Amino acid sequence: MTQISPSLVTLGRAIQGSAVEICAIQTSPQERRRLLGLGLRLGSVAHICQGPNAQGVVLQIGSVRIALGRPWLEVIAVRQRPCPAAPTLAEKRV
Amino acid sequence: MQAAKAMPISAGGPGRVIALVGNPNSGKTTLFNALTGAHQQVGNWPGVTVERREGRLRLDSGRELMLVDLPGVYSLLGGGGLDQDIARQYVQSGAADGIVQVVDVGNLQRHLLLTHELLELGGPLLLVLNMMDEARARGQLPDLDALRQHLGGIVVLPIVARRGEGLAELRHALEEDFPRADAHLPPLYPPAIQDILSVLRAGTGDLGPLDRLRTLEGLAAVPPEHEQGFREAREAIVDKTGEDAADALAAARFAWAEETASAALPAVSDALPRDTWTQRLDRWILHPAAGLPIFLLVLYALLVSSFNAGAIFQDFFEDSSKALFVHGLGHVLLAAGLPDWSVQALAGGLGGGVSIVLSFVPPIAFTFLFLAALEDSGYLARAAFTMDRFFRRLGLPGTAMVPMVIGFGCNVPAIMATRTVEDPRARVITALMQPFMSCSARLAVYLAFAAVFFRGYGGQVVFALYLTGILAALVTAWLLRRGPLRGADRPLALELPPYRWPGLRSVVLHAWQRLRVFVLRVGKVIAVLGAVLLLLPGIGWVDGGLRGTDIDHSLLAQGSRALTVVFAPMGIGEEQWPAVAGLVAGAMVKEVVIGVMNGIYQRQESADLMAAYREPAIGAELRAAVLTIPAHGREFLKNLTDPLGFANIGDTAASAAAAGADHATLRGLAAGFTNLSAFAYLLFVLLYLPCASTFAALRRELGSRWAWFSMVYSLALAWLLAGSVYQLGTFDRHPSQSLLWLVMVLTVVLVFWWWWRRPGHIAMAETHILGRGPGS
Repeated sequence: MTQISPSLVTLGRAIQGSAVEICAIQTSPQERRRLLGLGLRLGSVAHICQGPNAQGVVLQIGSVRIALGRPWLEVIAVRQRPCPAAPTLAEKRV
Repeated sequence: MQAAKAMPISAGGPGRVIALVGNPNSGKTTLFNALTGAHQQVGNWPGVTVERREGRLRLDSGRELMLVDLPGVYSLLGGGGLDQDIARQYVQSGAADGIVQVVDVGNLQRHLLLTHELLELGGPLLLVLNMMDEARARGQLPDLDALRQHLGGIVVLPIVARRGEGLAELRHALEEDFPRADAHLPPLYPPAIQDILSVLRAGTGDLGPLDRLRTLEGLAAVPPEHEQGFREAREAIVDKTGEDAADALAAARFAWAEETASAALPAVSDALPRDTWTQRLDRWILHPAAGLPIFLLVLYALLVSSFNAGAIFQDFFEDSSKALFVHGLGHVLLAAGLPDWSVQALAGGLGGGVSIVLSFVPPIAFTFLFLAALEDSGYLARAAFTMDRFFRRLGLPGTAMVPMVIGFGCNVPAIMATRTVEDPRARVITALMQPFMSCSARLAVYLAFAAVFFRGYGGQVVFALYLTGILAALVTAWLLRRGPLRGADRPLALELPPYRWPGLRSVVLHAWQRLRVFVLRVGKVIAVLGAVLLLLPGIGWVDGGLRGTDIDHSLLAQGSRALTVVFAPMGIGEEQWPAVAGLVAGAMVKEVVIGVMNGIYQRQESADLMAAYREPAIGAELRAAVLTIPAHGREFLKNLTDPLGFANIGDTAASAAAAGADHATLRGLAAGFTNLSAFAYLLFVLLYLPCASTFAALRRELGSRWAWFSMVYSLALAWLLAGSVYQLGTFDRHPSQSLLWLVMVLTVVLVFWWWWRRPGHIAMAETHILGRGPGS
């Protein structure tokens, strides 16, 4: 199983409205298979639609919206990615 | 678990069997309903509680098919609940002559992951692209030829199941055996992995393709004889890809699905109109602060709509069925010359039982109807997410909230609604909590007692009883989590489908199927028990034989008097045997507690029971029954702000009328009870035995063992708590007796706790929940 490296953050620290790449999922093979069925796997890029908050988080992968309860926030590691829909600072200046 | 067989539910089914497979929310059941209409059978899969739906489909050529609607499944490899295991086993068993996979074309890439697994199996496969109307609206029409080509030439049909669009073409395609993927099917895995899988397949020929993959991915135990083969395959995959087998195979499937979807669909835009609408609504509905009040508002609407709207028709169903099946039948039997006691047994007992079952139909039908509409709209998944953080503390998922609220109306649909709870442990706990929710039947008893004993503060007493019920349900959940249903929680992970207007046909059919199950299965128990319990007041052991007799010498009176000793700790003496008789009858249906007391007090005032059979006024009764509909319709509008009927509590006459209590009953209650013993009695009514219909629902959904557990547990809880309240309230009158009672209660609780925590229970519960079915 992939270990969470110090350079990554847990899903609980992701920022609403941003895009993240799923880098590690520390859970049983059965639960990983459950997430796979929803389209959530290592390397998936997800948009954080709502949260993370006390409820959990709502992600969007492609056109599929997925709700994850709070316990997932600490076992999924992500890397922040620039959101393709949001203009960068440089683009804003232009 | 038993393997899922192709044997249809109905005997003598047609030849070909076609299975409908698809991800949850793909519109599979909508398609099933559209194809089969009312020609459906609902049962359970062998050995488990997962609903099994089959339907006959007559094709244009006159041939018939049996369609099997498999549970929604994301992957045949596992990872879901029991329902997904069922689907996997059925598909792998080869029991179906063909598979139709239903795909939401808006989520084509993800749904193709299941197609990948079905292609791997190699059976006849037909792909149905559903929700084409939404794809058209988005300007994302798929290239069907390109898709067929990438799927090895299998049949691919576009449809809109909700509108019936494309169904004629589908029916035509179902006339013949549809083809398997041909030799032109592009490789399902990259060459390096394909080679490793080929070697593994050669060495593990005795395993099915899906079992082989499950084992390789660590989802199933490796058979000892194949340990070396699987170890070598895993090592080879790590060597070739740098990832473990599960990740590498998943990545390969996602890559295949992405390539296939992109070949068939134009580039996806993020700014989709439907998704924007969904996102806007979700901003409020899933908001951490606003989500809860919105959820409560929706459930309030469900409660009001289901039970108050159901109440509009409830008296019509009850009164008209009583006119026909009780008074009408009794008249016919009497005219045929049958003795009085047998007329009472058949008409009053069996006919009365049928009447009670039918009186349940309107509120339960409305509950199922509105629940089905909520399910179809996409809201229920949101409600589960909103409530998850609160229920998680009890070890339950958010989905457990919906049945609990429905339980305030009636426990039976609440128990059936626990099917929305995915985790099998949590589902058992949620179902076992339901009998403690104060259903509308218990409110009738509360109202009658409030009218006599708690004038001026009846609302507070009734509210306290509701809270006690909720507390008992929460304590039960806590106990089960610390006893036999210990185990890791499954964190919530669910897809939030886009909001959609519910399809009327689909909603009505869904509700109808659930209602039919209730009427036929649960109703049978009520009708038979009704016959027994309604027979008892009319017959007794007199002069060495069983004969028709007056109420004071009936079997009911004799039995109830004998039972009063059990109720002595809560202040009920022999003279209150009608109240005990009410409890005995209430074990069948809680509604009849007051009804039986009415009957007894009226009989004691020597009413002529056979008069209604000798001279029935069936026409007048039916007319009166019809007139209840507009009258209750007006009440419905008036009571929108008071769905539980608390407003009646301050008014004795209104309370008695709402409870259906006669003046004779109120006089009888006032003479026999004190305020304290009345409250203890109400506590007992709240907590004791689930009624017969609830018991039948528990037995059907969870199995006999849990149903009997609920029976014994709730009875013990009611007896100990009601007795303790009375003994504490009268402590100064008989301190030694009360002290002895409290010591006994403490001892029982400690012994129970020791027994409850024994590890053996956990293994037993595991076996029962996961390995045995209801009623087996």
